[in-house]
Amino acid sequence: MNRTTTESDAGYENADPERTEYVDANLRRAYNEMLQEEVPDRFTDLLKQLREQDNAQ
Amino acid sequence: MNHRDPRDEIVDHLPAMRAFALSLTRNSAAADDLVQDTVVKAWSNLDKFEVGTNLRAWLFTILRNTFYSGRRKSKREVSDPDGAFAATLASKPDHDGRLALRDFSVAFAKLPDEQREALILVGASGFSYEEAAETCGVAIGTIKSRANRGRQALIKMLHLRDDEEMELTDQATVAVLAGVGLSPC
Repeated sequence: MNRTTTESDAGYENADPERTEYVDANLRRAYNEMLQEEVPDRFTDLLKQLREQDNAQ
Repeated sequence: MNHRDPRDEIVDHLPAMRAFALSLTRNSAAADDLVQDTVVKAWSNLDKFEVGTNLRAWLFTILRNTFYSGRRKSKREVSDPDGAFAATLASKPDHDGRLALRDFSVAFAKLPDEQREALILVGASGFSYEEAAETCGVAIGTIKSRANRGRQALIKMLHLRDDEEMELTDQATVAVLAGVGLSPC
């Protein structure tokens, strides 16, 4: 982050929109794939536990 | 408009939090620990959340702060960039000629932290540049340039160069077009 970031940024703004969209489409696909994963029970258990703590107070 | 109690709403954001955590840590066990810590922190600070504002962005902010402060403390690279993260995403075969998800994930995992998070926020999870900038505590221009540098690096790593036909760089597409299966390599 210490390097100058401007040298090529302007160029990036003008990057081929088709390739940019291609990258973003793959990004969304990878992300959606992760979203489909089932949430492990430890998280629902955790939320339940936190709520019980609140109610006990 | 009625707003739900954020306590009831957190559960809806768990998949997105896990995805964001995985893209930061690149390790599924570390990602789940990070989500757990985030949920506990968020819960005890819920009085500071402004009901009606973007809960996901608020949770993501806590998640990334937790990630970076944990990293500063441990100074230890949680790693296996090409392994766990890619493996999580590599479960489904690609028969439709799109870029193989695994290749993409391996390339993505090699990007610097700040480029991965910028791309996940604006490229994948639909945050505006403004929301992403706020989540990361930086200027909008910084997010834009990180996202663009990340895209550019991916284009390079995936050989989607200007002087090549994009489709022809995608082996799966070539195979589909040629009507042949890809041999395992």
